[in-house]
Amino acid sequence: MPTVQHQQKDATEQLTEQFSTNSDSRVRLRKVESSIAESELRLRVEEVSTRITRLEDAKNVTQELWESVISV
Amino acid sequence: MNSSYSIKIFSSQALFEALSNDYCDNIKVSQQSRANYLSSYLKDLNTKTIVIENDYTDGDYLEDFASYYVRCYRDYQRRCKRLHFFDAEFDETIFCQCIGSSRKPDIKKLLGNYQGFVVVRPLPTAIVGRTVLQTYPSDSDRRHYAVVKEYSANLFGIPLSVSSLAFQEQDTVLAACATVALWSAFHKTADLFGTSSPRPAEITRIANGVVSTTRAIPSHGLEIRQMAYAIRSVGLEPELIQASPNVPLVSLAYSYLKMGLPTILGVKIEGRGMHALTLAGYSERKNRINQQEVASGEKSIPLVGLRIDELYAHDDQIGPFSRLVIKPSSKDYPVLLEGSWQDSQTKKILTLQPIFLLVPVYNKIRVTFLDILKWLERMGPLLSLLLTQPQDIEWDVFITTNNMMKDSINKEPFPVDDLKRLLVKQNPRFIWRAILRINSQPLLEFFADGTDMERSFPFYELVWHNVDFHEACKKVLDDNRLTNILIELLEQVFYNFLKN
Repeated sequence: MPTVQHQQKDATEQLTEQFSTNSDSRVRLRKVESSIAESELRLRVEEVSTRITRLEDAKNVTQELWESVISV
Repeated sequence: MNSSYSIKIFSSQALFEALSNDYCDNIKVSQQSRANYLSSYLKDLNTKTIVIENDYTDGDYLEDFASYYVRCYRDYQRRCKRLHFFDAEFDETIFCQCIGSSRKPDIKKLLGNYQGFVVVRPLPTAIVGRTVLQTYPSDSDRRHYAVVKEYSANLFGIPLSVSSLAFQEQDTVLAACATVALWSAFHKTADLFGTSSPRPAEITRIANGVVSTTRAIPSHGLEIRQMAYAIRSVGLEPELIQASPNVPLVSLAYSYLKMGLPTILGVKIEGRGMHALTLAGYSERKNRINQQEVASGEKSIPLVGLRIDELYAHDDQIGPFSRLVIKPSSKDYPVLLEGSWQDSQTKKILTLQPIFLLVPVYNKIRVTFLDILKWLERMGPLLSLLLTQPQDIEWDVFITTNNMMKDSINKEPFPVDDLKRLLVKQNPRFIWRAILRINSQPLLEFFADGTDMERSFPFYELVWHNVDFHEACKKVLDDNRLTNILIELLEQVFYNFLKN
């Protein structure tokens, strides 16, 4: 892990910004280098997977909730 | 002076008198929170005149009367009063010019704008019956009241109309808050889907038909499963979403409200219990108001909900279109809400803890907001890679119909080729739109089939709004060295969809 983090920091420093040539100059894009991009993406895979699993879990409504009384 | 009606210049006192009846004098009325809320609301609308229709037969009350009050020993009346509100000051002479005139009078010039009506029930409490009032102005496109429909009122032959959503307070005899929340919601779903719109007594009866642990009438509340049964009985499906800490609750509510789908919010009120309200609108700011809309310690992709600072709800114990201010998230709830609920002793504002959202949806709406969100989560790392300021992105996710979508994209700045393709294309009846923006500029947009199934890949159309962003994205997707990790992240089907 420390190796990857170090590599990512270097990569961020190396990245150069390029401004979009589109009429809207507020869209600022990064120049992507594939070797660095691969490690950046890999770092996020597990996090994304966990968040998706938890969203799926959130869809399960408990029986207790179905039976809650709304009475105020 | 005509006994069929009377005309009063608007004031709180005049309103309280108009709301009073034989069992509830104007002093008692002035102590009721709903009456005070209505007074403040009408003041804000700049109401000038009240026309009191003294003898009015209201269908909703008549059903209540037939179901319960007629069998009481006390001689309750079967007819109501109806109060009409106008923003111009006028007297009986002017009003008479509008009734039965052979010349067509300019009603708006004589009476001003019609602001709606309140049916006054002849009961000791719960005097505020069916209430249909104009909404607040949009305030430069900030306030959005999507859950409204056109209501017409015929006042002695004068045709009047107002855009609103019906409200009434609970009587805890035939309807508690859950019944009233459903009743308001069904008014709008009838307009959207052509489904039925039963009266409160009927809703309570239907809800208790499936399971009943207490007596149905007098009604002191409903279980959520009973509410769900009532929704099914009108031909819709109950979409119940628990307000789990990781569910972006405000964006979830927005995603249905934008189309005009009424959303029932269940909240826990400190020291009181569970309460239901019908959400009817929201306040959308230009800039982000909240840092997150999920509980502390949770993460979500940035959504429109971060710019929404208030929700507007029909709260049968407060009033129509009452304000719910969105407060920062806590550990256990995605957000907290503050409305007009107060501790009766200390007058401290009580916090509302969101517990669930219940949406009465058409049966063909099968794909949910959370199903769409799961796919958008996969885009996060890719966007961080492509954009220098990924923290500024915002996803605008909402359900719409094919016709609404076509009307909308015709008015939006849309790439011409994509516009033509989508307009002539056979689209699903219900569509989820997911628009990615950065600093208000659209970058790309997904169209998802709302009628498909949870486990299928929902997106069927992709529109690239920004050429350079498209190029940059394409470059990454075409990079063979990134193929494996992108497929791992996005899944093969999403990767192929983006690439092609």
